[in-house]
Amino acid sequence: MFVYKSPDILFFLPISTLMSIGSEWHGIRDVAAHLPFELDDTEEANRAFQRWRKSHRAKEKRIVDLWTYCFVRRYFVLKFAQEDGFRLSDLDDLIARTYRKIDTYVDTVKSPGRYAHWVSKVCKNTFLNHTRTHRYVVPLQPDGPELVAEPVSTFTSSDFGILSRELSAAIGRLPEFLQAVARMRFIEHRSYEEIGRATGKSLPVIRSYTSKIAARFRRDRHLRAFLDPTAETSPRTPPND
Amino acid sequence: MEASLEERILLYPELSLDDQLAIESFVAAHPEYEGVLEDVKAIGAFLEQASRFWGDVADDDVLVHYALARYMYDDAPPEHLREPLRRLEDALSRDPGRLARLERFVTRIETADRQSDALAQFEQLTGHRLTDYPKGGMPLHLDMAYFVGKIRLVLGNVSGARRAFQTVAERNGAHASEARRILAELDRSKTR
Repeated sequence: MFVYKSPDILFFLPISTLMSIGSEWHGIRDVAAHLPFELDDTEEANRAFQRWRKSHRAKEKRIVDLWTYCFVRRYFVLKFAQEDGFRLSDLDDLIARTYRKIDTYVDTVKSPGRYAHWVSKVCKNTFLNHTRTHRYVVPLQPDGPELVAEPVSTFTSSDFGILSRELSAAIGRLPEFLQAVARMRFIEHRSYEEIGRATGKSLPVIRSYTSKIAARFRRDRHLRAFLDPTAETSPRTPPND
Repeated sequence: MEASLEERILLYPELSLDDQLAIESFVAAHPEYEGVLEDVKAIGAFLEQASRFWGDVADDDVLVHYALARYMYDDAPPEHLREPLRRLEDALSRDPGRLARLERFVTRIETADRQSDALAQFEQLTGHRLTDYPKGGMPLHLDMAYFVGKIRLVLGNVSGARRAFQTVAERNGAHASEARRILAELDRSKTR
């Protein structure tokens, strides 16, 4: 059994201290621990949503609601950590507003198989709209005048867990003889020459393997479903507030 | 489509700028290949995005995601995060200057999460009680596919077991690595 071992670097981090403070308060981790699947598992979230759409059973709805709440909360916690201009006092309201918006408009989801994408889109739109309409105030000095700062401009759509999960799964679905080359090329960014030396294969073979990997990825229905921009080209996301 | 031509389009993200422009010109004149090129570009963009988190470059965006993953999972990250986190930690151990930056993100994440009680907010927004949910565990059917595979193996139904393990491996959820290991063993015993 694989046991994850933290390297020494973690001893420098205050996480263990932070996690042990207070027993009454519950963080996102405590709530997400009740999910029956990983928060990053968008495929399973989509399936849960599809099951609820079909059955309208309260049990399925509870799972969808739990995943949705955890996704929304994690999204805005991350945004706050990323963006200096994001006011802490806005955080709770944004989480609540986004969740309610999703709950109100959930019946308009056209592609239940892409529910997770739709939720992500609602989060992004709500956040972008918030940054446009709220001009962040940055104090120049503690008691001094205040400057109105530019709204945060950087917005990355990347999500560490979800993307890592998809990449790892896509490589895992390749035939075994291609997996090592895929990892070296697309994860470790090694050159053809380096891969050739590591595998003992000639450059034309490595090039041919890379082409085969690209062709396999293109035919991979899971990856296509994850990337397909046409499945819900214009998600019917709720109107901006 | 000619094999060499298809190969060149499939390798589009790997080509030099000049060669990419040549492919673009070719596809502009042959719109029947537009779909292939669009797919290849989308996959290339995905690979570039996803692999940022597996590399040696710990920029702020990578660091903040790392901090969040550690905050969420502490010392027990899910399987799909273990390798990227390990690689990132290796890179960070060679660049202690980034630690201060990382600590800042950890503090901001903790500050944000502590702004309110997640349980209270969840129950207020959804109307559900968290105590109605069993804690943790993968959905039954994911585990079931694995156990069905094991049972079929015991019963000697190797092809049926293989199908079940392939399902588990494909979903990349609970037991995926164990399913892959069993599949590899089945492949090896087949060739013996």
